[in-house]
Amino acid sequence: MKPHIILLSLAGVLLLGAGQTALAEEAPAQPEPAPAPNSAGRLTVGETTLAVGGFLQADTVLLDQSSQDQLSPSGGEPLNTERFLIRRGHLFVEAQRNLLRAAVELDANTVKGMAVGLARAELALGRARPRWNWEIGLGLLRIPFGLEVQQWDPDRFFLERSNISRALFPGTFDLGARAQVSWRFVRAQFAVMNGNPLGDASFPAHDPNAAKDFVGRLGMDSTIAAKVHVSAGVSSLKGTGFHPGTPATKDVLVWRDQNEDGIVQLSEIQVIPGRAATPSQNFSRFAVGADGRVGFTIPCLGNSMLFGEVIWGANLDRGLQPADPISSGRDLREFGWVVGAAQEFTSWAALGVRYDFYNPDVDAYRQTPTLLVPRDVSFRTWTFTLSFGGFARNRLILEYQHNRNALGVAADGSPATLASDTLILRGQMVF
Amino acid sequence: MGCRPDIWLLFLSLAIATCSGEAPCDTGLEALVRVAGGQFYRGSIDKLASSDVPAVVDVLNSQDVITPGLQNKQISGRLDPGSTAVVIGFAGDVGYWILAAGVPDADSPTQPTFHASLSFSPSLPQTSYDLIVRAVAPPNSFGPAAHVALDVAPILLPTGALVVSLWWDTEADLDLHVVDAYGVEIWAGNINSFDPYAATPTTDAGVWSQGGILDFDSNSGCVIDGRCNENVVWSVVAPAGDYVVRVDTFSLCGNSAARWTVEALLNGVSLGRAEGEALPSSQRFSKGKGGGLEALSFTVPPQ
Repeated sequence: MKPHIILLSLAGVLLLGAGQTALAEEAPAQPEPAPAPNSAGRLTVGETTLAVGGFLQADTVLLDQSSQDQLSPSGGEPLNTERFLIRRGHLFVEAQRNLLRAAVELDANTVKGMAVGLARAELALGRARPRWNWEIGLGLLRIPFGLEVQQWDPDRFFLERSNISRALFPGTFDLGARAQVSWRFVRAQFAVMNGNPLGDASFPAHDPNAAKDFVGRLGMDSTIAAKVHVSAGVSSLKGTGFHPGTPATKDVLVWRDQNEDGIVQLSEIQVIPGRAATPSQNFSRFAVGADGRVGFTIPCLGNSMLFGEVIWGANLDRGLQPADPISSGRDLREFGWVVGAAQEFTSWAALGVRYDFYNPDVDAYRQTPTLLVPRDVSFRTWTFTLSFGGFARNRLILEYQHNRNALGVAADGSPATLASDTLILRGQMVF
Repeated sequence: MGCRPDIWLLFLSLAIATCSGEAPCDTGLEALVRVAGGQFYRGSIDKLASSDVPAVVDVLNSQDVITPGLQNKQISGRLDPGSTAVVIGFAGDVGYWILAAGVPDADSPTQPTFHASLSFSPSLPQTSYDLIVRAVAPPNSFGPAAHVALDVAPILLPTGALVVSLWWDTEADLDLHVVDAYGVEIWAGNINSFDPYAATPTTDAGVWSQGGILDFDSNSGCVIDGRCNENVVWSVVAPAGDYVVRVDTFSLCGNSAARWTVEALLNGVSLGRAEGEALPSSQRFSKGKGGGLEALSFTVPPQ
């Protein structure tokens, strides 16, 4: 793992070194991400400063092509998704005493019925100075990888993260320890984590193996000219996944009514022999990524924002199509990228568009009657977002997503897009 | 139901003009026949544009008689070379199913195959159906239809002098308990009321069949068999006297409720019928002998 991180770190440092002369003005040194929104209420008791705050995102799903008024034949859960729901309702408390900081954040939502749980819990030791910050933390922490994973939910212009971000990091918080340093415009973060973030499809907030994931990002964040803000970075993750073993099974006698006469015949009885237990196994996984974001202001119009992120990975999908190279017999390589732009039109409205691409298995293939042919299993999504309230945190958002995928079957048996476009209206408030 | 024909969708699809060629999200549960692993499309299979090729070479089907709710009926066959998929459905049904073609058999290496596992709607009307199978070749060339005639047979209730039946509507584990005129309880733990020690000594080997016999412990231990029906049957003659029928909610198996019906038929004539609903609270009553809640009582007259 170490050479991996070190190489990336060196590349980042060289990149930043080359661009340093162009930086007209460094941004104030701040740890990433911002520890608490500005709107949080603060109270000082003795040497302790308490901050209380939160945010609410309430959604109305106006259209979802995949919605049906049925129950899932496999799990029995409702398939209708055209509904009102609370996507996120967060409440947090932060306490600061000298160099120590503690924070607890709860999330309540109705995505899969009523659920209340821990969203963040961190204990940190650090010092903030005008141009030099450092902090080490322990607990349920934000994963230091890339751009989208580290964005605070209300700050994201689009409703949700891109497909590759949600697939590789189904949750943005994981249990572990993290160190982060900022010096002038340089940002460096490194964490050792369980590797099973909140939202993991298999073992959320657990750790079925002793091996830990090592995650880091090296980047820069600066205001290079009047009202032009740039941030960029390279990230890496190296970790160990878990393939669950199976318990022993007993011999089973099975009757298959092959001639469908409803009568048991000796030739229709089969013995399925029991099988010994199989052990669980670990497998290695990794991801590397690069991200960039530019924000600037157009006079008389408003703020603008451009961003992009690209990620390569292997065996790291933990959310969309969980990768298990032990079951599939080969490594599953992932690749994806996202680009987006948004423009304010005065402080009342903003328009944004985003395109994201994610291929959960670059080497996928399928069997036709006579040939084994490559198969494109990628997800492609166009997102169009209209925000009433500009880039502000308190706003009303209307978003249409046009999804392309390979989950359906066309009339000739070839893969086709399974209709799943969505139109969602969200109200959001930070308090 | 299928993809919602919302006005929003229409508007936005027109605006973006990229929605063609999409497969619908539809479980196809409203169709009379369903194909495991198939992609469901709405529309009539017999109205698809037809061409001469590719054709279905043959269809293997074991039985022409099906029952409502039947699962995992297997059909298979071979297709003309160049076929990539097969379309399966009932003529006149609300939709049809697309299934990708499989690799050829060793004895006919140029002909793709198909293997389909069919299930049928529990509300399948009792009549004859025309199952249509059509081969497909790119781009969307539907070959001529191969027809398989299927007759729907009713699910026959057991016959006997006295039949006490319990049936219910969800995949729960309910148990039928019947206490006969002698006070003997027939249930999953005692499936026959005949007592060899109390009976008159005889050399008749079939004397055991004179008792009331429970035919099946449906969904036992939440191993779902789909029958949701249990019967206690006296095949020859039932003892005269008073009977009590109880329904035990052993487990709802994760369902929120189960609506049940109990009926007693003496030589085909109803002696009584009761309906009720098993709720989660019903699961807490005692199990085994003496378990369940009384649902029906009736008297069998001397015969």
